[in-house]
Amino acid sequence: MTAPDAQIDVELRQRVVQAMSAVLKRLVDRDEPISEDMNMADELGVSSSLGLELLLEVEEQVGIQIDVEKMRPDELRTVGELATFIAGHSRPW
Amino acid sequence: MQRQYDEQKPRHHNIVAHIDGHRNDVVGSRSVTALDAVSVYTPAFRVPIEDLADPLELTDIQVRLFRRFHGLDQIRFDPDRSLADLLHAAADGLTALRGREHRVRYVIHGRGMPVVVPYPHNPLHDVCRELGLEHALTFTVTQQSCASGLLAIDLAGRLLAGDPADDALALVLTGEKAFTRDARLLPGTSIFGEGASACLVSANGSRDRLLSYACSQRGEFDTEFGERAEKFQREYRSSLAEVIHRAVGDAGLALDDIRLVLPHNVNVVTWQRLCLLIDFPVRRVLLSNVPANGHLFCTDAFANYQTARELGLLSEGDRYLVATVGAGAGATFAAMVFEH
Amino acid sequence: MRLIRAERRTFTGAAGILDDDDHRADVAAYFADMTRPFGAELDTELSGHSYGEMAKALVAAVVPAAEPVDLLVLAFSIHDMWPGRATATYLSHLCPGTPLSFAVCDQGSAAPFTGLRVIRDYGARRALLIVVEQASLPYDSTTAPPLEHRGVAMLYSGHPGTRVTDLRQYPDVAPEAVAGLASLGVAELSAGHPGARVVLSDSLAAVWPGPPDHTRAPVGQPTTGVWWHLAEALAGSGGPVVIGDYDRELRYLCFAVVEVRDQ
Repeated sequence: MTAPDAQIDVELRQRVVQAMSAVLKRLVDRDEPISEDMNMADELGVSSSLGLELLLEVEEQVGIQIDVEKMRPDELRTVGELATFIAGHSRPW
Repeated sequence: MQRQYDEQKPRHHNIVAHIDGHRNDVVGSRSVTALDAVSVYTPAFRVPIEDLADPLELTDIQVRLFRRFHGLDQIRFDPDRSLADLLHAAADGLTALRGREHRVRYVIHGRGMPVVVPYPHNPLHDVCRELGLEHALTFTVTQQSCASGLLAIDLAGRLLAGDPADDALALVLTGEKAFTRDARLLPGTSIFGEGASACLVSANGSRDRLLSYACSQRGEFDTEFGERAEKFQREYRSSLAEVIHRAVGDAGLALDDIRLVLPHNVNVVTWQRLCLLIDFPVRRVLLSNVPANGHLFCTDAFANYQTARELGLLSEGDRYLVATVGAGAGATFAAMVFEH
Repeated sequence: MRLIRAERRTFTGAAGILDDDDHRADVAAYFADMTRPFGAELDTELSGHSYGEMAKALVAAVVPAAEPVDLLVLAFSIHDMWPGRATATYLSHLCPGTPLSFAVCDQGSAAPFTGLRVIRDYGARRALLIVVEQASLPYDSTTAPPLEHRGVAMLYSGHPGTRVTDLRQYPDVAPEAVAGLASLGVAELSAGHPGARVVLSDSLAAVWPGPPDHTRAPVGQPTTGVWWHLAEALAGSGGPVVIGDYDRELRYLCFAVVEVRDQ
């Protein structure tokens, strides 16, 4: 199970959410805003490979390295869930 | 002298291989197939994946993904060697074969790409002639993609068990050229490289004994049934986990008894995620050859075995798991448990 | 292990998949890459059949839905027009029982005999051996392709206590040694199976020393030839059939005695 939110750097998480939204809009060619409760696979059509691209671009934009080894994609379905995970499982690049 | 392969009348050591028709897995109720010796040939020449972007028509982001998450770094190629040369190079390194050629009754080439040379060229038989193995029954098994190599080992064991000669051996060869697009790139998954292996198999060896073999074929991912890449990605890990659990269970073991996993070297992220799924420590999965080689078709398992031996990762009695997924439209998941 | 059902067919036309422009282009590129190192020139026209298509029809005809198969072996020598396809894995999905499936190849006309050996040594309860060849190559070859697209699917059933099929494969037999070894082999096998019919490939019948008390498979179908006639034996009374084949290029002399189920 992914660790609870207790130690999340709120400011980092916000930057991650912003980066994710920007990248997602480009990846799935979407103009409308993206909210945190959106299911990435079902609502936004993010495939496994797009998902990896998303991670890569967020890493590069935010300047972090995500602990991908700890990621359980089945438990990170919404934008918010993934943002929380990233904020809690990464270090500065 | 004409050697013949003929059926013996009822054998007291008859093998009972029960095949579960519902899951197309084969549960061998014997554990005598053994790897007597393994030789691996990998070419010294390597190309950084960035240099493959143009020939493989990869975008910059795709290359960065391959590097960052898939763990690919350099890919091995042997532009000066043909398929026959690759197989020969691997066999040349098999010192255990020398002086025992006459005992080799079967030569089986496990190959991912089903058709690789114009008809009727036959590099496999050419190599066997050069190695002094014309007396063997020699053939290729294929159409299980990169899982065809494990199949070849299981087949070798069964043929040997059915052979009247007690000291019969089989030679299992793997090796392929990255000669066409489908043999160069697995989109979003991996990049193929070139290498080969030669493995001497017996039906009664004392080391590296095969304890179990589980195989699951998913022909529904053939392109005739439409584009199903996403569904395949979603089911990939659970399907691989299933054959792993089955192989481990059929060997009478628990996952924790497995000292080491020798994976197929498609990429690192797949195995990281799989380990989370099955709760297996990823440090016990040998992944160092992913950046070192790329994906060498059916040779990965053998290359990883070689590396494990070189690094002293296996002690006598250790149980290890070899797992592979043959993909690329129509998928085969396979796993074997060995005792070192 | 007994032969309980068989289906044999001649297929005409070309693989349906060649009508698809994208697939056609992919296959052409594959063949171009494959032939380039050998200096062979590729035809612009692509015709010829696909073993997936051929075998699909054969499987449907020979395996009822309610009778699962455990093992499926696809044996071929000349390749088809979808060379990169994991056809056996595709067939595994189509065949009742989702059998363990793979192809045996690169062994000329010995491949189906090896397929039979594998079936025997796996001890499968029900196994399907599918032998196929198609008649068109998109490049010049030193060996003439078969005359027609043909396939034979055979359902073998094994039960404990059932007589096991006799199988003999001799590697590395020189052409001049065939006649002697073959007549010896057939005589031994027939002696063990009185009343056995004998079916020989045309390559073997051509060097047969004695009187022609056998059925001769027609010339031009090197891989399916003897199996085509074996399939025919199911229409008559049951009993043993000795089949023999010689592959001149790869020097394999093969025999099998197949128990054909009494209908």
